Amino acid sequence: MKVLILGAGQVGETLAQRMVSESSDVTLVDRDRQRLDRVVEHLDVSHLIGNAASPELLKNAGVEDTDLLVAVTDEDEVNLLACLVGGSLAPGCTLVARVRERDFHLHRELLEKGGVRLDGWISPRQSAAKELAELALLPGAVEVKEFIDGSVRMVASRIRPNSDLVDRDLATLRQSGALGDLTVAGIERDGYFVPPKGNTTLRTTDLIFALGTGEAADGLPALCGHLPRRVKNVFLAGGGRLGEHLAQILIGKGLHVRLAEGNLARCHVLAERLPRADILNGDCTDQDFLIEERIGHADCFIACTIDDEINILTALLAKKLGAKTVFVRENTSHYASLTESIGVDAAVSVRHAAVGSILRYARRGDVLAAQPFGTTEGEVLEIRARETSPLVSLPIAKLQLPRDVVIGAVLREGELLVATGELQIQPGDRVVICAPQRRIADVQKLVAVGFEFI
Amino acid sequence: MVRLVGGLLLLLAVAMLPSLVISFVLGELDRGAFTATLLIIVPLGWGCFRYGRQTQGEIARREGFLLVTSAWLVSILVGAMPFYLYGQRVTLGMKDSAVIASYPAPTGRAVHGRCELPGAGEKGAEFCSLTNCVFESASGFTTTGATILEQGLWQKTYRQNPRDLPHGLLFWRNMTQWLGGMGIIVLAVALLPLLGIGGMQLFRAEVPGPTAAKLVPRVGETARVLWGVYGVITAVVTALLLLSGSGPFLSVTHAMSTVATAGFSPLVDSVGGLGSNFAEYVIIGFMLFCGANFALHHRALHERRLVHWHDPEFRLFSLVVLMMSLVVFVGLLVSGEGSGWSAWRHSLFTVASLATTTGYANYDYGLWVPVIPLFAMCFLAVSTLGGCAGSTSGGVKVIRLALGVQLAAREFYRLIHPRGVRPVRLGDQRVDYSVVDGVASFLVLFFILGLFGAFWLSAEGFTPIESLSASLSMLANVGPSLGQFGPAGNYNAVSDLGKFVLSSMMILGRLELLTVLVLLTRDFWR
Repeated sequence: MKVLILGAGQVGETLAQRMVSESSDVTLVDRDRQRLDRVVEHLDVSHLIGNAASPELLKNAGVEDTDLLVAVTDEDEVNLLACLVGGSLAPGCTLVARVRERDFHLHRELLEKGGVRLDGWISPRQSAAKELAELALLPGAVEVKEFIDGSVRMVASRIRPNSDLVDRDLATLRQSGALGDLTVAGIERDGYFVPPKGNTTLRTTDLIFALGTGEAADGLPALCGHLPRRVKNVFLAGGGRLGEHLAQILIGKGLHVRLAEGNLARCHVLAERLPRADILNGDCTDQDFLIEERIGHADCFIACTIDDEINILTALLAKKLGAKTVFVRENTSHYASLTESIGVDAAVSVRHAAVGSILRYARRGDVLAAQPFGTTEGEVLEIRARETSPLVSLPIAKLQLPRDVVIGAVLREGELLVATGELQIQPGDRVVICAPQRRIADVQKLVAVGFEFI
Repeated sequence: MVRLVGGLLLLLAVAMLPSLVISFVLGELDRGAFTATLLIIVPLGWGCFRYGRQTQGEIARREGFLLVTSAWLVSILVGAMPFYLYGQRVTLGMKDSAVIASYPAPTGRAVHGRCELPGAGEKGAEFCSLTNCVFESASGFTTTGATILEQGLWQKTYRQNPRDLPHGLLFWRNMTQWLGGMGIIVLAVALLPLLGIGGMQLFRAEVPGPTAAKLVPRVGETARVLWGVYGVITAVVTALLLLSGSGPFLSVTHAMSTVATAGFSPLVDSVGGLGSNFAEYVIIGFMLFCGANFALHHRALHERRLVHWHDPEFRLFSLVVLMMSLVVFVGLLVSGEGSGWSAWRHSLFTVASLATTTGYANYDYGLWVPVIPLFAMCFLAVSTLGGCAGSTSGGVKVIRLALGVQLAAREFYRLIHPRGVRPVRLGDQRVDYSVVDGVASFLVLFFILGLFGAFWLSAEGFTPIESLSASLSMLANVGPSLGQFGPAGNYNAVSDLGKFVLSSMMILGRLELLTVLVLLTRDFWR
């Protein structure tokens, strides 16, 4: 697969990394030579320096025979223009652009009328805000992903010593029905991905990823030994675009939101846009400020500034002062391995959110969604089963699935079916499949469109 | 400046012509008063207009304040002239036995002009005192509707007949209110925003027209359109009142003071004297209509759709009027003071009249107060609140109260969250801090002045509730208040000095306090 990535920022770099690891042919374009050099140094990609929207440069980058063009430069306008140019140069290419400004999202049809034909509009901050909101609402969860328009969720939760799951293997658990309608998609132990086999014994501090319908999936933290708790007060640090969006979602869910932002002018803007939130002009690294605003009463604290150090430190401070759970927004990968071990409940990475939104366009066949999970070693795919697919021939138990691949759920004609062994997938079904990254290629063969479509 | 005053004098002269015609056609006693007034103001106005032509130039901010205040003062003085001249005519003309014969002896109530000249107690004798004339004229031009004339006898049978005063004079009385209302909409919608008086800047963006910084062209254009709206509404009310069978004279006069939400009625029993439920409902409707922002009417006309409901202030205003009417209605039913539709009509009319600061009455609501003391509070509250900004009504205005309440709420919020940022908002719109500050100072001044007036009247020996209600009523330009100053009483019992105090309060209230008070600051004259 030939991928052209415009913009070598955090998202561009992470995506390039991912695509290279899947042995795609990646070309990276950026205006900033230094930034590009830094990325190219440790990645096997070809690169070009220059204006991402320039037709000349796009031609040089070989856009004509590119399968996927991803525009993730810092400017929406450049991204949209690059897609416009790229689309005219390579009509068959899949075009994905990052669009941050809400205005563009709202007036998408105007741009489409003008010929900006995009396959994917992604807004990583919005996706990240959405995930943070899900985490805030589900205490004990470390990751929440949604599939099939939200009817299937994948929830990750860490097993606590008091849980019934400790020291039991997956096969017994399945038989005893302790897991209910949940399908275990994978386990992360000490930073490594463990595929869910019948004889895998669960241990304390294992991170368990499970798929299920909305309600079933939301029961996972309780199974893992986390006490269910009503979330009412959320404290946000950082009133940037993500913070604003997050506050909006949380307010919409009926939560009381307190948002601290250091810039007074920005506070006024926020106060106008979020009439139901408490907008505070203060610095969250200031302990007195946090105490004064009763951080101890917060059910959840989310640090979402663009500074990772500040996010982590304020989150730790908040936790020390009594916030029940603390989450951080992760902008760079610098502290990714650190955050959870020092007491932050979960980190949501904007980069991963971006990759998660882009990945489905990099998958061949009828892939409706593709989300990495865990330390990006696992991936959940949402696919539409075709008549030509090997999936539809036999009941699930008898399918020759690649190793460690799990079928999580099936949506048939609006009805959600639990993926039991007897279930037979039928053409037209939407299927959620979990697989470790190294098996993705095999899974794609399973779901590949028949020859007549190639 | 001088030229504009000259122009104003000529305008007033033109406005006086209908009264002159009426007095001549009916051959009544006020012919001389109007003729003499016109003989004085026409040459004066023309002279000023001519002389002022050379000094024509741009009107700066400061002159704006001065102009507004002096325009009202000049109008009030000119407006008082026919009253005074007529008053003199009455007292001097006592020798004319034919004239005396045409006046019946004073009836019941012990209300007299403080006039020691012979003829005191005769009809129109109240006007022999200059103070009374100025008070009446001030009440007219500020669209207050407080009078020194006997009113509201509220005998069981309503009196269809006008007061026993010449028709020309009665017409002039209502004409002053109509002119006052005309001045106010332009003042409120076009002038005050430019001068930056609290609250009204909100509508700056909504008033269509060129937004050039120059005062005159923009105000001129806006004024023309608004006066058009004003004129059309007056015509509509007149037509509807004619339909109700009120007769041309009563229809026109009532229409003029309805649109100005002013409240003078040529009838002793105010609107109740019309004796028509239809007329009362028409007046209720148009009092409320004119209690809404004229900029809204203008926009509705411009966009050809009803934009009123999108305006948070208008929504709140309607809600207040409706709720208060219901409260009064229920109160009347429970106490047995009224029943059925007539109780609803009386309560709605009273609340609408007070809330729009009109001051009409179709029933002596003063009679309810001793039975249900809570009504005193209701009436005081709605009349102090007033209508919407940019309307012809007076009072604090719904928008200011809404902002003031939010300002207080924000203080509470700040006590809990010292670093909290919470804007004062109106609907979805954030209100600029300078506007909020202006509103706060307005509210403070309003209640300080209100208390001052109340103390003054108390010192004159009126009861506390009379003093307070009358004082607030003057500032809010309502007219009748409670007790002796209620719809069945008048303000003649106040001392001469007290009448000047009340007159100045009317002017202050009408010109949104700050416009006048700024003239008293040293910085203004430096």
